[in-house]
Amino acid sequence: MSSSLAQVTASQVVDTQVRWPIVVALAVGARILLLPITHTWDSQTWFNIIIELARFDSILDAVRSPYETMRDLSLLSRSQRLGLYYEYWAYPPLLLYVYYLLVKLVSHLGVDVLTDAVFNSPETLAWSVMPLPLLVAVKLPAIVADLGIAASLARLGGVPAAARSYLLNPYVLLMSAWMFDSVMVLCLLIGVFLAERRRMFWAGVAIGLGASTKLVPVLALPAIVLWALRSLPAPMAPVARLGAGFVMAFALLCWPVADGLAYVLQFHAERRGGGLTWQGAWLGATWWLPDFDWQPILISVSPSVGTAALGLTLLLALTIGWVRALNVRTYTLILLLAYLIGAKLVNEVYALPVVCLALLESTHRGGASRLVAARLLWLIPLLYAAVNVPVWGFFIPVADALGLVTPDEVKALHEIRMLIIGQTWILLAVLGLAFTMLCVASIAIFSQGAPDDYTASHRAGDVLTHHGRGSLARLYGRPHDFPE
Amino acid sequence: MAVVAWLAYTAGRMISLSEIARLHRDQELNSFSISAMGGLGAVFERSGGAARPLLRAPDGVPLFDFSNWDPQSAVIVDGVRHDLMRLYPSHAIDFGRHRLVETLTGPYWQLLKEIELHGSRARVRFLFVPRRPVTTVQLAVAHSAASYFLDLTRRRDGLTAAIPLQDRGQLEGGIQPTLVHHVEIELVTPVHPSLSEAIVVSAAGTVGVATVIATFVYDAPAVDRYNVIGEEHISWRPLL
Repeated sequence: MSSSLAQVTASQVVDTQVRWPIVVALAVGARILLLPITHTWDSQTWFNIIIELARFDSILDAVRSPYETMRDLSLLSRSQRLGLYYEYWAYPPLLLYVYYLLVKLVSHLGVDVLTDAVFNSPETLAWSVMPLPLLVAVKLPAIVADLGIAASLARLGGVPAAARSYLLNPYVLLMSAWMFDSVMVLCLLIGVFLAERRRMFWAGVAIGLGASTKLVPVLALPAIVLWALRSLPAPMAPVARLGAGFVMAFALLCWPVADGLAYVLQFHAERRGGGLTWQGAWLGATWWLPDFDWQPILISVSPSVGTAALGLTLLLALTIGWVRALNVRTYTLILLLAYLIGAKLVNEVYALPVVCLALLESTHRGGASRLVAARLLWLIPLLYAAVNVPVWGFFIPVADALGLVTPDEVKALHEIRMLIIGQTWILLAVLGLAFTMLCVASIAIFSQGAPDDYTASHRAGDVLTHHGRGSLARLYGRPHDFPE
Repeated sequence: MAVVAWLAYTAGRMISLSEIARLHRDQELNSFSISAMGGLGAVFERSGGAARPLLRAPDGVPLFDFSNWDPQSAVIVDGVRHDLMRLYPSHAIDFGRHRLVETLTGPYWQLLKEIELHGSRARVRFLFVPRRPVTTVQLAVAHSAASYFLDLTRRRDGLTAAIPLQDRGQLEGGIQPTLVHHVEIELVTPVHPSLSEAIVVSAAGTVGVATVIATFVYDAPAVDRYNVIGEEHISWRPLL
C-alpha cells in the first residue's frame, strides 16, 4: 500500500509536464470570458460598494461607510418587517481597502464613478449592470489571487499538478467570477505554507490578512498552534510570534471599522441555517409539512443549534488532529471540513478553501478515496449553485446589459421559478445532507496516513519538485534560514 | 482549547441575549424618544397617529409633529388617495444613531418615513417602494405645531417660524407669546413642475398657523427599489 502510494505521489508531484504558459493563458482567458457572469445580488452589492467608496477622499472614511450603510438599510428593513438585517457588506474590510485603491485608479483613468447607488427592497430580485472598467476592478483581486494560489501550490506546496487543477477547475472558475474568496484562500494557503517552514510571524501576518478578508482563516490558528506544541522542541516562542503577526495584521486593518465589524457579526449570528449543511433540511421540511409552523425553528432553534454544533465539531476535529499527529496543512483542512459540518449556513463559495487544500492533498498524496473526495467536494457545491441560484441567474446582468431581456421578462421568469421552488428545495436539502456526510467522510479520509511534517519530507527529498529546495531558499531567504 | 471554545460560545450568546433584550425593550414601550446629545429630540408614539414623530427642542419644549392623523396627510398613487391614518404602520428605531423609521404599508407599495437627528438639525426622507409599476406618486405631509407657528415666513420650498413657550390654550386665552425657538424647514427635493408651491398653510387661527403641508410629487418610481420621493432638512436654534 505504501509503495503504491509512493508511486502515485511521485508520478503526480514530480510534474514536469505542466506547460505553464498555456495553463496560465487558459486560466486567465477563462476568467476574462467569465467577467460578465455575476450573481444578481452580488452585481448590485458590488456596484453600490464601488460607487460608495468612490465618494470619499479619505480611505478610512471610505471603508467605514459600507458598514454604516448596512446599518441604515437594516433599519429600513426592520421597519418594513422584512428582516432584522439588510444583506449588504457583511465582511471584514481588507477588500474595501483594495477596492478603494482600484476605484480611485479607475476614476483617474477617466471612468465616471460618481453615480447614485441603487438599493432594492429586501426579498426582491435585484441586479445592476456594471460598466466594464468597474466590473474589471471588482473581479481583479480574485483573478490575481487565483494566480497567486496556483503559484503557492506549485512553489510553496511543491505540487504543480494541484496548481493546474485549481486554475482550470470549473467550480473555482465560477467562484472566482462570483465572489472574492480567492483572496482569503491565498492568504490562508501562504500562512499554512509559511508555518510549515517555521516562519511563524509571517504566517500569522498572512492569516491575519486572510481573516481581514473573511474570518474563516482564523481556523488555521489552532491547527498551527497545536501542531507547534506537539512538533517543535521549543514551541512557545514560535506560537507567540504567530499570535503577534496575526494580531498586528488583523488589528491594523480591522480596528478602524471595529464598530461596523461588531455589527456584521451580529448579522451573522442572527442568520438562519441552511445551504450546504444538514440544516438545509429545514427547507425540505417546509415543503414536506407546509402546515407546520416552522418559523420558531428557523428563527431561534436553527442559529442556536448551529452555534453549539460548530463548537462541538471544531473540538472533535482538534482532538482528531492532535491524536493523529497531523501536519499543518492536513490539520487545517480537517478543521475547515469540521467548520463546514458544524456551521449553520454554508453557501456554495464557502467550500473554496477546502477544495483548494483537498486538491493539494489528493494530488500530493494520491489514493483513490482522496481523489474521489476532492472531486466531490467541488462537484456538489457546483451542482448546488446550478440549482439554487439557478444557472440562468448568473447571466441576468449581462443579458440585461446586452439588451437581450427586459427587467419585466426577468421578473416574470423569477416569479415562475418561485411557483415551483418547493420541488427544488427537496433536491437542495438532499445535496446539503450529502455534502455534510461527504465532509464527515473526508475528515476520515484525509486524516489517515498523513505525514506529520511536510517540511521534513522536503528536507528528506522524497517529494522534491522540479523547483527543489534551492527555489524555496530563494523565496524565503538564505539556505541556512531553514531549520535543520 | 475547551475554555476558549466555551468563552467564544458565551460571547455569541451574550450578543444574542443583548439582541433579545433590545426586542423586549421595544416590545414593552409605547413611546420612544431619541435625541442627539444637546440637540434636537424626537418622540415617537407607537399607537395612534400623532407624534410620528414629535420633534422637541433640547429644553424639552415640543416644536411640531408629523401627524398621520391630520386629514391632509395622504399619499396619492396613480390618482388613488390613501389617508396615512388608514395605512398599516410599523417602525424601527436605532437609538445609537438617533434614527427612526416608520413604514406605512399600502396595497402594493410601502411608504417609509426616515428621521435622523444630528445636533440641531434633522433630516427627514420619504421613500417609496412600489411592488408593481406606478406612474406618479404624490405625498402630502402635515407638520402640526405643538403650539402655533408664529412669525411664519414661507418660501416656495420651505419656511421659517418661531415657536412660543406657551401652548395653544394659553395663547388663545390671551397670554402674550414668549418666542423661544426658531425652526426652519427646507425641502431639499426639487419642487415638481406640477406644483406652484411645495409648502402651504393648512390650518391657521387668530393667533398663528397650526399646520403646514409639504407636498412631494415623484414620477415613475422604480419597482422594488427605495425611491427617495421627498427629503427635508429641519434646523433649530434658540431665540433666547
